[in-house]
Amino acid sequence: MKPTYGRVSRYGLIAFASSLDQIGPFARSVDDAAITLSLMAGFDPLDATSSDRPGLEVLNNSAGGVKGMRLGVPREYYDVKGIEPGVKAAIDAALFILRNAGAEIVDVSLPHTDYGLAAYYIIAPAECSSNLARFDGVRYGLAEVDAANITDEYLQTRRKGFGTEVRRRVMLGTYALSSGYYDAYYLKAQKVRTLIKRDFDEAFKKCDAIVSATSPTVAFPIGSKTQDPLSMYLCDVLTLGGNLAGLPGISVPCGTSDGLPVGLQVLGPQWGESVVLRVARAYEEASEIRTGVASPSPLQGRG
Amino acid sequence: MPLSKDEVRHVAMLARLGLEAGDVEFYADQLSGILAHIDRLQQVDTEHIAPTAQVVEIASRLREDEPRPSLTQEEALANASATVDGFFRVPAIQEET
Amino acid sequence: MGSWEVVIGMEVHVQPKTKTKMFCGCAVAPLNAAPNTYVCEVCLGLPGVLPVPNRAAVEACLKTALALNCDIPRHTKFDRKNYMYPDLPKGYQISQYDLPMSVNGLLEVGSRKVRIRRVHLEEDTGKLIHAGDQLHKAWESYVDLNRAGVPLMEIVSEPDLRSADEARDYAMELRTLLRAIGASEADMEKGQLRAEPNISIRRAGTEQLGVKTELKNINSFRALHRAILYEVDRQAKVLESGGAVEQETRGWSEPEQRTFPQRSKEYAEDYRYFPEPDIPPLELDRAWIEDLRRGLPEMPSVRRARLLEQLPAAQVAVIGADKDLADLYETAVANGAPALPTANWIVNEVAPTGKLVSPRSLAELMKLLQGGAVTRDQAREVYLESVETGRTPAEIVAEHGYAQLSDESELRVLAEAVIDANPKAAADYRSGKKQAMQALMAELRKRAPHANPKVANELLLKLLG
Ligand SMILES: [Zn+2]
Repeated sequence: MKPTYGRVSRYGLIAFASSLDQIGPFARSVDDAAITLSLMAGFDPLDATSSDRPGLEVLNNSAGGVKGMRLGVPREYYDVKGIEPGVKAAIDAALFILRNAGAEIVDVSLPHTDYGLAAYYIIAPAECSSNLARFDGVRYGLAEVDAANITDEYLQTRRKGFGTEVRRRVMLGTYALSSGYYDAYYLKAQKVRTLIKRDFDEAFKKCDAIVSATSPTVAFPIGSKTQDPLSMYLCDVLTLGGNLAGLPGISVPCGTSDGLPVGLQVLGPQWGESVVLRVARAYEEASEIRTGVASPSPLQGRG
Repeated sequence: MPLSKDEVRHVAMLARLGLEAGDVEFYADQLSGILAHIDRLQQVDTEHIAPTAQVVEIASRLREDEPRPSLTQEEALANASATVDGFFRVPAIQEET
Repeated sequence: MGSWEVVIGMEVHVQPKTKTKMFCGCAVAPLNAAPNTYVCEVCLGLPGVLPVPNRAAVEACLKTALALNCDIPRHTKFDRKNYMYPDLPKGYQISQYDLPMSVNGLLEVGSRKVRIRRVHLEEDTGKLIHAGDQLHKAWESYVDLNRAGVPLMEIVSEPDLRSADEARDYAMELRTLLRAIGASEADMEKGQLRAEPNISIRRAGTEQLGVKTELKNINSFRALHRAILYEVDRQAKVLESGGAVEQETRGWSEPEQRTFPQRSKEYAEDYRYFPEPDIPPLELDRAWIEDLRRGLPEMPSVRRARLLEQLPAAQVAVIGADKDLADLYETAVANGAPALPTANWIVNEVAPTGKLVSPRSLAELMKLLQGGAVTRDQAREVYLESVETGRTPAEIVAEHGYAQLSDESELRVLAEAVIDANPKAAADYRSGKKQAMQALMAELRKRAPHANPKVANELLLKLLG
């Protein structure tokens, strides 16, 4: 689960993209996620972007079911380019279950979906390139101390210490912020971000939560896409929008395709964790997935 | 737009990332591919749209001017590779070519 | 030369008076603290830390902006200025780029109106020490991060200054103002005020600005003045010999009394400014701004104008430049001290030492001195003792038995005895040798060290006349 941006303090979290980073729990059940989140959330004087806004009354609400709730299905997500048939089938089954549990399924639209990936891959690498500048070998970490001068020390230490994907993002982000490209890339991406957020604001006027697949495809083998980063990035196309808009979201297991798990994504409005958890909990219960994976009771060990 | 090798070298220097054999070609190729996709942003009309730097509206909170304990010098230097007499040590800072 | 017009804009960095750093709870280190002892996870730039702005620093910046007649926008934000250098732990400096804390101010220096472009807030860097002392010869350098993250206000003027004198007076006026409003100690020698002039010259009567150089490493008002004179002269020589001034940053060398190029242009930095995502934009609440505005003391320029109605310009130049001295003067006078003697006392006895007594004590002392109860030398001793012990001048005078002998009948007996014992000196005086009076006075003082010299002198004159 990923909470609303600002719900959980980022102090202590090694920053990747500061305006997107948010800590969320991985759990074996929605209840566990809810309980864990309730303990993690809140204002931290060491994080100026953290907040103690309400909206976390999950423990009382999550069992309330979806009867009477309106769940939006964005057509741009449902028919996203490259979605695997098996994934689509799993989502159809999930929507059927939710409808049976009393939810009303409504059509919504997120018109700027096609631009989410592009905006994300400017904003995140730009912030990343700045956040990773502190790894310079002077105060901690790997250091090529025998370099002839400080610039060589930086160049060698950072070339050696960062992996391929990190270097790729640092390069991309540095380029997007550099003189002459800032307006065309970084500023443009920030404006598109505004439009993406507005899309969600509009959609949430018509529904309580948004449901979709978490990814258009099931997991690909490790290392199979490193030479084609764009196709790898495209797997994130359904989660980037919510991320850019700072929304709370959760992914719950909803069957398999080709023997690999498919995720059902539930997105709520900002500070709407309680809605997200309630929908996820209702699905988990109705789909009986819970019985298959959940531990005996929330947060209790097996003894 | 595709990235030239010179641009790759310039960006790598800005980012203080060393370049090893093949790196320039690798970045030029990969970044050009990603940027080709990103260039679709130019199709969006953002004429009257304000940029969003922070997506959630959070009221600014300022810290009161009250001291908190600092680290000891030993703690501060504990993870550094090179120190001298309480200082971090760095190689020569050359400002001219 | 002679026909060059000098154009100077000033960038002044000021350390506001705060207990802690800009974005973390580390105390601001005293001078000569051991290296890396005023640092924490945040100002060391460890992974996972976040900045939280210091309210006192924001307040000092806003007060400064108000005192400089700046406009304060409703919203301001911080930005990251990205460059890697060993004195900059995070690889970026948190500063302000396109939405500074304030803009469009004005400071009057003498008859010159200097427009202030902006006053913004940022964080300081650490300090580097170079092995072998000189950067370009150093084989390695040492990093002390005590200063990293200390708040800095940057006050940027428009290029409105026209001489080294004006630039120095501008910097001095800023110091007076910053101290008056309590925003900073603004001590140049301690690095709390760093002035960096941007200098260019052009033919008198032309409008086009010349190519400018920026000077750094200036540690006193005197150095500021000299550095500008040197640089103006250098630029004029370059231009007069047919050369072109290069736009560059130059350092002032105090030992060599010259400027030299500081940074090569071989690799131009690209700071890649972007909004600091870790700090939400600050909403500058109007009620808060108005409170700060109301809380500002009288501006030094207004106070100087008022002092000029009571005192000569020379005394005002000293007293009006320092809030503590002006406060002492005005309160002492309000407590009954005589204006001009008190001003003179402050100029001659207080300003050079910086030792302050309470205004009430100064008023008391000035009255004792005026009434002839103590001599000037005694008053000086009483003053210092009052500074040290906090006791009142009257108490100290009583204890030391300093009280002067001013009683006329007693002094008359003394004076007559002195004349009787020195018939030659008395006769000399009567015959026109006026300097003989000195011998008589010396004799009188030998007999009665505490005699009021003024009264005694008058009596001798009367008896001999
Ligand atoms: Zn600190």
